[in-house]
Amino acid sequence: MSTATLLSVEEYLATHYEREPEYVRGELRERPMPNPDHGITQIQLGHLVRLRAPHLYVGSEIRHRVEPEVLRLPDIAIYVSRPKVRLPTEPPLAAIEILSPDEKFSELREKFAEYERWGVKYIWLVDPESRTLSIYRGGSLIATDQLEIPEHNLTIALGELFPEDR
Amino acid sequence: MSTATLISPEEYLATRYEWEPEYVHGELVERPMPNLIHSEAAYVVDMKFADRGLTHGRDVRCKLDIGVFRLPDVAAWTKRPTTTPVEEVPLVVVEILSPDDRYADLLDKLREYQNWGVPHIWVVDPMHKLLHVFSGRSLTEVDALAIPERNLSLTAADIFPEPQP
Repeated sequence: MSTATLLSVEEYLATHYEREPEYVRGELRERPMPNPDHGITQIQLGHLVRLRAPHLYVGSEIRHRVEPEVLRLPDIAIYVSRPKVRLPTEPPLAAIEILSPDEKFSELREKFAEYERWGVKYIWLVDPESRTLSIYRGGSLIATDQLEIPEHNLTIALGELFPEDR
Repeated sequence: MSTATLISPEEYLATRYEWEPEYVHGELVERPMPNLIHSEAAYVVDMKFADRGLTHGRDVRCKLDIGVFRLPDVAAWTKRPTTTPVEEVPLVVVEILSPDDRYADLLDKLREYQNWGVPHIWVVDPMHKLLHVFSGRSLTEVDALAIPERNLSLTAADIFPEPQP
């Protein structure tokens, strides 16, 4: 990684990619191609948020400027008000990553630490393969049976996120 | 992974490898080659276990279940194991992270140790100098890895000493 040619933010933003990578201090970070589990879980979670808390805004893979030199695309972001700018710099209320089998632990940890420093209040990890949910806080990934945003009366249980195959 | 040719546990155990892989239900699981910081961290933890009178070892092949063989980076037992591969459940296992470790694979392994009944499951991240404990499906960052009944405690400063000038 350290030998990669560094790219400027402007160059990154001006380039058209087939699958938009993330950008961390001059380096592009490829995002794994989503498999069916990933895609279905992403829509299911967005759907449940819209259903339970229609006043909140939910977006998928919206590019955010987390730090001046760090641009990330959370799988799902939840907002109290609709982002007004093309490249939001304000943290969303929640940032959610859906785990892909190829995701490296050290990169995921780095991303979550950035979200937390940025001021994201709810940082969640959803793993469709093992059907588990975790909440990130202060370097820890705490397993949970439900995702909650109490101030918006939003609760999503594990079983709702991964309904049995019909 | 699912397209790999499956091999039997007997075949796995009988084969001589340059860098021993792990074995999970017919598939070989490659382990990353350790680099210097990985190796140093494993050494410090291993020596601490020795110091507390535990039977200890690095990369000891363990049989967790029928068809599941793992080689914890460091493991320690209160009583000397008598089986090969080791079937006695260790008091503690330590995984030392490499940059390429995938989160899903790490979780699989930690859950296997948990199902095997290992009381203390530790994860050491030498890249970020961080320590984690895995329990109850959660990976918790801690200031010190501890086994109080053995008067054993390791902080990041113990495991990642500052290089001497």
